[in-house]
Amino acid sequence: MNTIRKTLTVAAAAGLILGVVAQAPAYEGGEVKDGGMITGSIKFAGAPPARKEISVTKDKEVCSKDKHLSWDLIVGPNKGIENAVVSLTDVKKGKKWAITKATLDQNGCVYKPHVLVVPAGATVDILNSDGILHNIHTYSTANPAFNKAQPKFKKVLTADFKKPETIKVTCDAHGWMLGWIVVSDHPYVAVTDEKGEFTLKDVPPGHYKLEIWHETLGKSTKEVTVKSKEETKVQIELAKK
Amino acid sequence: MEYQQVSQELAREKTKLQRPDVQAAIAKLREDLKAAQARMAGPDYKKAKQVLAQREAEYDDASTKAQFIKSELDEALYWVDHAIYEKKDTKGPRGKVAPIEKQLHDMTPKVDALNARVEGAQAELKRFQADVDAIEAKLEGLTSPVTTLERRLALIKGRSPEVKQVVVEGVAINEFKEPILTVDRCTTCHLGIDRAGFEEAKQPFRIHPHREVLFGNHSLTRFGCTSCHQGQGPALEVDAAHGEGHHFERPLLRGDFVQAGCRKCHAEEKELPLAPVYSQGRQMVEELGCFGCHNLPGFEKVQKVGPDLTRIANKVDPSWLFRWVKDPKGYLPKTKMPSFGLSDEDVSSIAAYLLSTSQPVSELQGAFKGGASSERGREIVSKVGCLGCHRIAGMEAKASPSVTPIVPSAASSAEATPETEQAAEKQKPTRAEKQEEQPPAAKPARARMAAPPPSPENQDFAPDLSRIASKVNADWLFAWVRNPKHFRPTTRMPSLRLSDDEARAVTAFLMTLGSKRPIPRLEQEIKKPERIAAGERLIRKRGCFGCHDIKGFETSEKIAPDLSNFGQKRLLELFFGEAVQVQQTWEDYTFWKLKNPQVYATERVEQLMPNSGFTDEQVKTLRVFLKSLNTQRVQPQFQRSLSPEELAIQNGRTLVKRYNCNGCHVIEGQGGAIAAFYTDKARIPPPLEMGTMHEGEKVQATWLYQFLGRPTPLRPWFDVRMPTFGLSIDEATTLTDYFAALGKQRFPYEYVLLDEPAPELLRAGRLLMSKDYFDCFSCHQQGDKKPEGPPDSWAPDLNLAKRRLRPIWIAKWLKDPQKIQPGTKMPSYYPGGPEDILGGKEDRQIQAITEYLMRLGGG
Repeated sequence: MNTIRKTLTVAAAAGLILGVVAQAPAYEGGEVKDGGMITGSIKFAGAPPARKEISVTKDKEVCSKDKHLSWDLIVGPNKGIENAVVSLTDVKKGKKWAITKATLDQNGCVYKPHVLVVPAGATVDILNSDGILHNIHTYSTANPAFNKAQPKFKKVLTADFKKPETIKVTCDAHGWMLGWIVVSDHPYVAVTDEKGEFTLKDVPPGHYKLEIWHETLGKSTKEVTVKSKEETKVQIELAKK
Repeated sequence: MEYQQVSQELAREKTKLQRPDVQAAIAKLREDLKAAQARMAGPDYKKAKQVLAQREAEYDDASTKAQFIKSELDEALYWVDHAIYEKKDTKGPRGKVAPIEKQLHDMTPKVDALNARVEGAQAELKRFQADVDAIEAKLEGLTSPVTTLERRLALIKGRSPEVKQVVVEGVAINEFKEPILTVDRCTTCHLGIDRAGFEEAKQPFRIHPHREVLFGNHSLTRFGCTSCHQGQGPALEVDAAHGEGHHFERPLLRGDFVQAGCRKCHAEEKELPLAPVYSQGRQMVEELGCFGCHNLPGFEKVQKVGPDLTRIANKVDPSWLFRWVKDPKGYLPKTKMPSFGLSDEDVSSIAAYLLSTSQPVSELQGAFKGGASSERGREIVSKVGCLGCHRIAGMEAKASPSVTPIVPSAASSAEATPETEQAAEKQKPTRAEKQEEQPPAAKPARARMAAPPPSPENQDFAPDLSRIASKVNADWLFAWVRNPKHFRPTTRMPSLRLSDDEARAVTAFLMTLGSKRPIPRLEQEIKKPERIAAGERLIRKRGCFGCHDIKGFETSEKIAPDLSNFGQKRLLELFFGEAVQVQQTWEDYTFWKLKNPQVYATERVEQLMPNSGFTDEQVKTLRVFLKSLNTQRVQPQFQRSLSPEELAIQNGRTLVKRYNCNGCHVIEGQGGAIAAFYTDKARIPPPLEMGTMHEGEKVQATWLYQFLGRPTPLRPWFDVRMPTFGLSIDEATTLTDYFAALGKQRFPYEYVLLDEPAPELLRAGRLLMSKDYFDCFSCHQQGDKKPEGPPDSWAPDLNLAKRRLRPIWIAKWLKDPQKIQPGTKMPSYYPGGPEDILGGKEDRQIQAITEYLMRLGGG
């Protein structure tokens, strides 16, 4: 029992610490005059796996417009990893993020984009281009989790995401559908393209921690130094754990 | 006592005075006062005084002058009158009057002015004094509570101690059924027992714990003190009052033992929230089956706790049986079967008797056949639900359960009970008990008023199967898993409705777990008639039939002493043997009796009680229950009987515990550990009682009753199955009532009454559920119409709703499914219903769907 009590205390203490961390001073947006740039590519270490075909088991007339391939790990030519999220984790000041709205489309029973980056506090318009019943089921912890139906007659659903977090999105009506919403409180976040490349512009000079997250390959970090008006190149390899 | 309280108040006021701001205020006032006083002593004041004196002098002068003039005037007037009287000429005197009058007339305003000046000067002086007075008053205001309290304190000090007593018509009755009057003078010393503000006071002045609840239900004037706490009510000396001197039979119940006092009135209740140790002890007795050998009030109707042994030869391997009887914990460390400390010879005798009297079951021969795939069996065992009750090494949890059970459960909080029994503690032999002393832990959350449900800590509720093949025969195992009730109708093991093929596969898998280890020459040994005869004698002597059904012992009596008055046993009734290390107290005697009965064995007196291998904590918990056992009778009006709801909940909990419903379902916020074995959290047994989810509110009582008796798969795509427990009518009714009571529904039965709704409403419901709107059948089955896609994305058959769900719950669910069952696959449609149906009115739409569902599916 003592151990349990201790564990609880430890958990409580950890909770407190996390709470403190969560309350870290917010990001301050302003003008960046002599910022530098971080560019780079995320590569897959090892033999790139082929994308598996997903069988469409339901609503075929709508969902089978396009062929479905698995989204969990897409390795392009030259082993570039698509849909990895690159972000600075300890940036306190930098450029303003003007966007307040983003769009997530359900089209052909696929989330487009697969990884959506939105600023904290933004409103996301969730479109139902398919005209069949979908439901948006989010697995969030910092933001309220929801599971809303989006029947045919509901073309647009809106949702607010106030706190930074990476949120898994699924549709219970179509089990294969999977997407991610990355909510960030600063604009230095990028999703890698089909070559596995990314660019972060107007970064104020300084040392940063660069975090790379991929839905299958997990998280890794790298220290980067950004100099005024210079380009910092980063190349990172991720392997299957 | 009051003195204490007033002192405390005084201290509080004093500390208030000590507070910096107050202190500053006082300091400032004192300074002001000083300044004001200084001003009074200063030149200004003097000057003002001089001015006053001068002005007074001037006034006096003027006033005297005026007086003289007035006198002169009077004289002049006299002469005028005199002249008139003497009938002389008045002209002369009259002429004198006028000037004097004028003089006076001139003088009066001057005098008035001077008077005003004097008053002005006086006021000036007064102002000095007023300042001083005002400041003094403020100071007085700040310090007066302290002075008043000090005065009160002095008064209390002067008061002489008085004897306070309550005379109550006692809870207890004597042999003639007359109430025994009791006099309790405890409050003579325990003055703060019912007074707020004494929470932290030192004994004897501390307030009673949980005063609101305990005194709320047991008023001091009706119950007194000793009816719960024991002790010698009328005594006025501490030791005598506590009954801890010599020869007093009912000493104060200290520490956790006080919980034993509840039973005399609360015997009907199994769980008392404010007596967690007692409740836990009672639960242990029920699980361990102490009543198999001892007569224990309240357990007369409880089933034997061990398995039926009348067909044992068909089931187990003789060598396994030998080892098991010799050392049960060697095979199952957590088994409740105690160790009887038998010699090898005695063990083989018992095995010989059990095996020789076992009734053969011919149909078992070759039933298993073999040839089934153990791999498939493994798959079935890991998925179908066996792991809700059994543990198997190598089948570990895949993920942490999605539903975190609420950690401090009833049992764990009882286990965590801090050591408060200082008195008992001191008396223990120091030998083995040093390590058990724990520092007093933080107060556990004991004050919970809703009684906690039985704890699901037993993930090993049923035997661990990791070495099952070393124990059982394949033929028997096959027959058992296919239908456990066939051989033992009273078993708790439910049927998972396995087909013969499935049962064969499961058997094949289980028979890979462990192997038989034959003991040489055992087979011959147990066939010897003298062994069998010796076995019968031993079984009779040790009372094996108290827990097991054994052929030849169907009518045997319990072998051990009646415990119905054990809590009141006097020392001379307890046999200490030669155990000199044991203190001569009831507490210590009982501790060692439970811990190791053999300490009381002597050359001439055998100890038959087996050793259960209890931890010190378990012993102490059981001991609190044992302390509660007495034959003292209580007036009927004090007997607490349960309301129908409370009884339904208590009986339901007993069954939930008995059948381990908690192994799979979250009930009363606890359990559901089986979820850890499934990666897909959408395919685990649903929670039944958690947060806002109440099964009794969700489903119709009739449906639940039928489902419990004969489960029909609701979600056929689940791997895990709701087993068939073969519940009796009584049991199914009890569980139905239990869920109804928890869901705050009327029970036993409530009919779902439906008025015929407007056809327009039904049409709207149908439309709303159609493909063009909510498209409910995209996931839900409707009778034989199955949704598209793989079965694991399906949802329950809506044709069942009519018989299964309560309409009010359907509406609640439709409004916000996530609120009732967080994480459910059912999405919320509201707010956001279509505008073009029923004018877009949400409530009407929900009503329409509900009405439509309650009619869906015909028949």
